[in-house]
Amino acid sequence: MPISNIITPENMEEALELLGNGGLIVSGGQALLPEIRQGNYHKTSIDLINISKLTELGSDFEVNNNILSIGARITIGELIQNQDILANAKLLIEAGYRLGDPQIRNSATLGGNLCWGEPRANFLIALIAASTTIKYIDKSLKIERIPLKTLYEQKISHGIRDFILLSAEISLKNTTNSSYQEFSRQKNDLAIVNLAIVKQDNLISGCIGGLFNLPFKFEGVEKSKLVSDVMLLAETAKLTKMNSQFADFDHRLSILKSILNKMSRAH
Amino acid sequence: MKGKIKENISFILNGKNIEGKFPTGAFLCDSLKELGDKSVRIGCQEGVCGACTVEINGLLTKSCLKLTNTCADSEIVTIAGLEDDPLTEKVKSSFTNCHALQCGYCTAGMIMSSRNVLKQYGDKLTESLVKDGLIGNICRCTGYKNIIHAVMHTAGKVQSLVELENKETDVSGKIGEAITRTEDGRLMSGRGKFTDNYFKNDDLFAYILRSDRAHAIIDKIDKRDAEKQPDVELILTGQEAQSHWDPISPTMDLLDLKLPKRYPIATDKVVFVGEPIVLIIARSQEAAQLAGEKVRIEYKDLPINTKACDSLKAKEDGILYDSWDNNVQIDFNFENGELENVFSSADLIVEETIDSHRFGAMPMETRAVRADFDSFEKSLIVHASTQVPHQFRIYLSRVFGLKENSIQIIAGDVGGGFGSKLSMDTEYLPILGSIILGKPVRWHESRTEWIHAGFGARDYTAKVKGAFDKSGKLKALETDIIADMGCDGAERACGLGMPLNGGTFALGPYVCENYKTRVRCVVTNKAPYNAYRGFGKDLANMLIERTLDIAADKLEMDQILIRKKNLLKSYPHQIVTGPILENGTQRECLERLEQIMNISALRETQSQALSNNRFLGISLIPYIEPAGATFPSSAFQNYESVNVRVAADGSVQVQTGIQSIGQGIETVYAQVTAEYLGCSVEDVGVSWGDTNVTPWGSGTFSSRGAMFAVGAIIKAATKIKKRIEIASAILLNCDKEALLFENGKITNKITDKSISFKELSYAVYVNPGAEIILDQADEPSLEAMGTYRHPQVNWKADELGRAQFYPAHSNGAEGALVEVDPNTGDVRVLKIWIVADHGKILNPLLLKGQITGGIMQQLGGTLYEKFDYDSEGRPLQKTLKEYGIPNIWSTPEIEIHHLETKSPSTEVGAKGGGEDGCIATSTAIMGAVEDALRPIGVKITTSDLSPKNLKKIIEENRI
Repeated sequence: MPISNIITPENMEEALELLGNGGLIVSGGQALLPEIRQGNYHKTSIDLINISKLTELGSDFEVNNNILSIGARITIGELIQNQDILANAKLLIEAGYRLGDPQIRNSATLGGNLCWGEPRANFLIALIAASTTIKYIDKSLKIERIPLKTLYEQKISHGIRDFILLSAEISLKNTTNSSYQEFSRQKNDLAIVNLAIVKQDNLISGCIGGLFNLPFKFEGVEKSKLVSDVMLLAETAKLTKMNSQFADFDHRLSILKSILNKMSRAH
Repeated sequence: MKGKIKENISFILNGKNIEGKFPTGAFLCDSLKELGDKSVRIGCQEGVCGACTVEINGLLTKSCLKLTNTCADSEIVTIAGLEDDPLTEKVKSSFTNCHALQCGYCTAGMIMSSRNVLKQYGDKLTESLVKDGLIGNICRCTGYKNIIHAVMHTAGKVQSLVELENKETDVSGKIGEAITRTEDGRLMSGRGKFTDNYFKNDDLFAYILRSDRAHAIIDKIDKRDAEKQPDVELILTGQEAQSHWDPISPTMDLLDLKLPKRYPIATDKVVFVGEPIVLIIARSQEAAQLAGEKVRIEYKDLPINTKACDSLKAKEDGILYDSWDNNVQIDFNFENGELENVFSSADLIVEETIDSHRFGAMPMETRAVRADFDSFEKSLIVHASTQVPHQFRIYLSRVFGLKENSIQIIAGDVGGGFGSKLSMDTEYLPILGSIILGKPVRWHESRTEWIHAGFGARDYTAKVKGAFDKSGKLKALETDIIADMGCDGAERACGLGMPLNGGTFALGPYVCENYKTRVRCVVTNKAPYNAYRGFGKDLANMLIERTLDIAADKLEMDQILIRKKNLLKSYPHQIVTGPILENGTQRECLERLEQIMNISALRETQSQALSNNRFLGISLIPYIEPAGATFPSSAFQNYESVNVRVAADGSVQVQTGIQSIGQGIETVYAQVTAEYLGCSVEDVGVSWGDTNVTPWGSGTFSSRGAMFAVGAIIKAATKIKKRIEIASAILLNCDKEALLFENGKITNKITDKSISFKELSYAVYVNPGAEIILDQADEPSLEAMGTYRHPQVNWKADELGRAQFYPAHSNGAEGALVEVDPNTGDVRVLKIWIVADHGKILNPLLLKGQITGGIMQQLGGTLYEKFDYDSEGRPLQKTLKEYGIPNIWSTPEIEIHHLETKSPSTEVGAKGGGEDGCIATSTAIMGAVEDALRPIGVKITTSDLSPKNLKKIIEENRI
């Protein structure tokens, strides 16, 4: 194994320094460790940063003014049992139950899922659909807030070097009427295409994974035009298309249409 | 650096405090094994299979995704630590009473997850919740159906399958009874005798550096930097290894086929990505790998063949082996009848190209070896995961020039085989390391190594041409099969017989005298091609059944009717290619299934669904299952020997060369022995898997144990029984006719006086001794060897070159109900039905388990599994997840029924049924998918029904 060090920093400063030097953060490890085991990190040695002692990293839920804050170290298993989420954010429950399996969910963390770098990661799609804000700490130890979509596009998708994600903040009023669905070869495989939507009044916003190299967000689509408008947006988007051994782009569009039709009927 | 982990960590493992220093990047699963916990199994190294599931601080966790050094102060529980836990014991009881395990490799993890879901939901448990709870645990043998039933049984929701099965069966005697398996206890407790459980902490590690080129000359290997690495004991190239061994001993050498004559490590050129190039032996896996990274290899690339049809035309540098003049390993031809005339006068000719994509066995346990060579004694002990320990010993003797009597192969429990462990290639390497160094060497193949350098199967393209008359009668058939052998299908693997079977059995159970076949097995730059459950009978079934469907459509005839018109009418029936179907119930199975499925009701449901834009499809097809393969010019022999001994305490030991790979031989052979000796099943122990203990045997393949080993047991037991009768008559002072044998007790029916087996055996062995009470017997012992040779085999070819390699032919009919989403290409198999006849059933629970497992393997192959290569010959799949092995949610409803027509040539009448489910399932699903898509007119001619491929087919059809 190329893991040469597992370092447990005592504070954020040290953690960010290690990160800047090329270390990889490990919390639950459920996305990172398979990649390391498969040799997907082409390095002769890897320093892992064990963040278990960083008290700044959230490991609980908080609700203030209808804003739910979920700590980055919360496991998916904990998340899908949280009463506030169960009552107000159906899309997170659905995204959670489609992630891996009970063993994986017991270890995988919200932060890990968002920082994996996989544009179809269940919570990335669900939380972007819910217009989530991320709280993170940067290398100057400043705490910042930024939309998840922006953070993903500007930082996460390029590799994490200069910040540590602390928590995700969601407005629960945004998620009351919401849903997450995915298409995969078998249940709970990594999605080929996934889609999360939130409905407010008669307008639907959402996020699609599996079409492009980045999550694809749409907003303010009329319920009655959900299928046609979203398909048009997806077909005309100027993003790098995703093709893989499991589906080419046109197939992915067909799958999206099928999911949209189901969601449209359900809503 | 500040904050670095402490050197020593401590945690609690199964109640015991553990303190130790672990390698930095060690994963918990490996550390637990090093700590002596034998219950944790490693199947994927990527958190998919769940065989390594443990509890950490009360939470279910995959220990292959947990770094040991992050477990400080944790409480870890494995199945080994739950032996006194009442819920675990309850789950185990349900597992065994519902036959929820076969090879047992996944079982410890499966029970951990079952326990968790039961704790979570208790009385509220439903099948859906069981599936959700167990979705992280992969089982390759059972097809999950019985596992779901077992968990529901633990929750008190259903009766056990043993109860249900015995309620249905009228059993007299031990044979035919659904009894639970002897082997389950150790497998459920994490005490399986798998090869890696024999690894010792001071073993050396073998690491194999493999080619990243599909076809290239090895120009230069520079290992100087690697040799400077610490803890390295040996680095060996193919050229250097040549003085230590001979080329790989072929597994098949028949019909003048060409053999590559290769060594286990490439010497001058490589022919597939993953081919071994350098063997490294070091004191740790990490050291071996680091040394491997320092080896520099220079190649000169050669033209790459990734498709058999292109490889057929390859010339010069494109030919894989220098001594060959083309890439065809064998070109087999057979013709009988008046084909030209019949085709020219036919009312209907149908022609189609049908293909089956590449997938394979993918057992949960990859290959593993521990080799221990004694340089002084020149003796070798090898623990290995193999289906054929005695064959393995032959090959080792030939390759290394060692005397066979100095080699001991111990196979132990094998975590699934399905044909893929019938041959050996990479296994030679750790053994070579041990021979050179005189030290024990271990090797456990990673899942990626298996996927890249293990074995593919299927991968056929076939043209079929059928001639029919107006009534739907098949008048002639032609098949032209091209099979992709990867780099080889006969030397380092034995899959070459599969396409040959495809051509031989393509007429299936139908009557037709005019038949022509050509089978070309072509080598390409892919991993080797090995046997896989179904062994070409799947291809045969696909060719004839799809041809009949096409003909029925063209003739606007019912698909079941066209089959009935062509089905054989009497037995024995000789297929024109030679095989004689001895007896059976082909027509009865089809008619029974038609009734059970209630086709007219299903058609009604289908029609209603379509009005709601749901596409349901139905199919129903017959199949034959030739069983008990024997092949000339190979060690796949037409005999098996078994030794039976009644010991001085009355217990019985059966020793067999058949290998346990999860099929339940310890149980079934005990049932047969008990029946024929008159003792109790519990008193019979079955030994296998050790060449020093068991008589020579070809091993486990082609569902042969139920015929060959059972036949041998009966022969041996019958000899002993006669001696027991002589001794008992003396001891009970009566005639033999007055004796009654019942569960280990022998009674004089006249006086009612009885003796136990124990008393009788002691009398023979000790007091008064055999010389007194067995002096009238043929031999004065309670031990006998039985050798069974099947009379229905004939290797002597007739004037048409026809022979009989399979002694028995089970038969059946399979139906499928599917739902297809034409928008996504998604296929959901809703239900599979089977009505089958395997002759006398030895244990119905176990037989149904085999069939269910076979169904799910072929379903997985059809819908998810695939070995793909890019144009450079690089595999596209690397992990189990990418390969696509079915999970518990992919299990459809499965209903299995049986008819019983005893084989005319075995005493019990069993025929074998281990490959059922893998023969007709692809074809049944293909037919049902075509039926579902009939409203949009899509024709299905491929077994690859993955969403991507089916969508492509639908789109092409729309164009």
